[in-house]
Amino acid sequence: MLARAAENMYWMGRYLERSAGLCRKLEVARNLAVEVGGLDPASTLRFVHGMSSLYPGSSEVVCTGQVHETLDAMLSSYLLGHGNDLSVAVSLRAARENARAVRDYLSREVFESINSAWLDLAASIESGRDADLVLPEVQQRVFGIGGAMGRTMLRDESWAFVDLGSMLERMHRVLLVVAYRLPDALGDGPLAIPVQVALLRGVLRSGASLENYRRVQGVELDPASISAFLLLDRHAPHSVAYGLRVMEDAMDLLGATEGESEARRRTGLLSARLRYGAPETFDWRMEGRACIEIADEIVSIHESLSRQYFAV
Amino acid sequence: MANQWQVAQKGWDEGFVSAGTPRGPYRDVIEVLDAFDPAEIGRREQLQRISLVNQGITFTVYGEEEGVERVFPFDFVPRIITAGEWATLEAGLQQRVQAINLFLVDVYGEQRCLREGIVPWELVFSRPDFRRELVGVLPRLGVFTHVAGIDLLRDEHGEWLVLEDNCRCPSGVSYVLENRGLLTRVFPGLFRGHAVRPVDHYPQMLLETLRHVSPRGRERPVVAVLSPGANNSAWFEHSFLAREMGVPLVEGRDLIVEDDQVSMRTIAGRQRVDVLYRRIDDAFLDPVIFNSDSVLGVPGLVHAAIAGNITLANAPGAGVADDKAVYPFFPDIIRFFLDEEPLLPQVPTFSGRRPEDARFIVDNLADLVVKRCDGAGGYGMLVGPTSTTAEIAAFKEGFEAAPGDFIAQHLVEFSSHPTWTGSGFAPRHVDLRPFVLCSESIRVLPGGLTRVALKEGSYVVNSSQGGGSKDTWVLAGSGGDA
Repeated sequence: MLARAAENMYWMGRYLERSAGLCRKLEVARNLAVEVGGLDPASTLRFVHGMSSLYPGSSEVVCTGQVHETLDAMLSSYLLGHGNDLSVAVSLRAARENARAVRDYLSREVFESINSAWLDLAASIESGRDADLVLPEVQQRVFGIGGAMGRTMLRDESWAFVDLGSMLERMHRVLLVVAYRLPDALGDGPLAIPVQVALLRGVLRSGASLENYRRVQGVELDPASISAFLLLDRHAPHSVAYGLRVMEDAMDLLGATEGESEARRRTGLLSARLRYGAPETFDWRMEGRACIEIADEIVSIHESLSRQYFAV
Repeated sequence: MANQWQVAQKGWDEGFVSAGTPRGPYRDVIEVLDAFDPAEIGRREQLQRISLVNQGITFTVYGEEEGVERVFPFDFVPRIITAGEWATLEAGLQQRVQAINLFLVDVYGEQRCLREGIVPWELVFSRPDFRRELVGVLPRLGVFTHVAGIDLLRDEHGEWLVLEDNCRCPSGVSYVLENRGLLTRVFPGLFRGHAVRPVDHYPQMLLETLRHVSPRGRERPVVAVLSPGANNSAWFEHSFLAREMGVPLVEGRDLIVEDDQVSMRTIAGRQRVDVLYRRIDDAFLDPVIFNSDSVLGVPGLVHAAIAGNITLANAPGAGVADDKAVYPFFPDIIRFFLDEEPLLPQVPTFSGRRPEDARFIVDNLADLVVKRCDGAGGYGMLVGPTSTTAEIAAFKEGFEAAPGDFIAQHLVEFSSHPTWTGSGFAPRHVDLRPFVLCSESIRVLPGGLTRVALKEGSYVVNSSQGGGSKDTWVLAGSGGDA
């Protein structure tokens, strides 16, 4: 497989995953604002505006102190904003450009779903449609892209690079959710139970894991269990442990051995650290700091992958 | 007829003998389309447009906003060519492409046709697409032009004429295949009762052609498509052909030449390439030999080809055969190399290089279309019948200063074809670009790309200037005239 094509596939995977993750987090913020914005504006506002800590480097959105005003500004910036390098619009366009560069590797269905999702979003932006209406549509389209990929793409090297890109992006954001959104949800002082439940559900939904968590852990929303689930559960598709496993499989498919490949070695070490080195009882506050470290290690894995495969 | 069908007032009408009387092969198609009211046709047309947009079947337009992607409009009324007509065309196209390759082998080899005055040597040597660096270099199997697109039109009597040859990187074949797919989805009923020859096998034919000219006698040589990149106007076609042939689509930066061997940069290291179907113009192909500013090409690529380690299709230097200045000599070229009369006539053309032609051109500027040999896209030309006296006088001055730089033709009223206008069917001018593949044998894809000038009265079929395309049917079976 061409090194350039591998890089395009990798970034296509990353940008698609980023688009999906952004849509999900915006939807969570919107639902939360409706659900508990009136009950506890301060906590809701902290949660809604905390989006920028999950996407460091994105354009700053001013927090006006008003829940719905701030939410509108967040939606406008993170969904439709061309000026925000980490918006859905920018990510989907970048995914489409990468897909266009490697459309000879993609099934017709995959390219068509990516292309039409971007064209529809661009038309919505052009016509000035309300972000509130656009969000569910885009979310559905991005979800559909995943379906088209899963059903039609060959599980070869090109698929491995999509996996590497999407899992790396996913793990990175989940780690930041545990590091920042979980503390935001708990606040500094006691919260009304309905508010806290809503916020903790928001944390899990930010990581697309609420239903899966309930099936595994039950209905009780305990912060330690939540962070452990998001980090360590090997069957939850949005957990870090699952992501590392998929990455290891992808690198195995590419023939990367731990002896020869720095990226494979780093991934293996991280996977082992999570599997065998995690304490039995989680202190979610301690885990936040560890998450930042792991997120940095994820960035290092990205750099190793780039050196190994893209800079041939 | 339920819908309004206008008939061409001048020139050959492909669909009708006269108002209300369709030509034989068109009767069923018109009957099927007449069963739809304009609203239903509009709905289906919208469906096909959405399909083109969503699939990204586009070309990029330069000179406006950066990288504007446009859909190549598709008109659903198919152009129909009978089996009998096609047999004549096919033989003529094979003959012409054979002559093109023999001419190129000679020009870069023995130069007999130059020595014997079939084509003036000073004309050939002065053309920018003559690559003197390649004199003495004979490509594998003696094939310079592996893929040719020969532009044809029909004159007012319905006779097919060659308008021009495209021997370098002819584009448009992807639309031939996509148009067929689109028509079968949106207007499947049109095909009922017709045995239309398929076109889907073109990528397989192309791959076989390319494999035949591999420098290494391996069963499965490594073939790749070389493109200037995603910003190129024909990117869709490049990626389409790579995907359909199942070969890598590479850019210049993906390739490296070491010891005259060409390799791709892959995730597993370097992999040797045997054949490159290159869609980059000569000038940008190799900065070592041609344009030194080119960042699209591959340094050393042409030397690797000269060393016989890779085949470039089409071969560099092939462009001299489709030069406007050489075109007037083609009937003589065919006679010289094949000892046959041309099976396909071409538009009668006067060369400013011939003194008697130059005199005729000067005396008849008002009746002729005069083109600069190095002009393109309608620039540097005079359309005498539509020009003012002052324009003709100004052009005459330029012509007389360097008559050898010009050719001239009578204005050909080329044929029209029934085309949907949004409210009814009206005649619009069309041409045809069949695609011819050449390696061990010469094969022609049935049909080709019919381009249509969508604006009323326009003769401009180019996609960048309001042109569209049609599905071109070649009917299976024997005989018949349209």
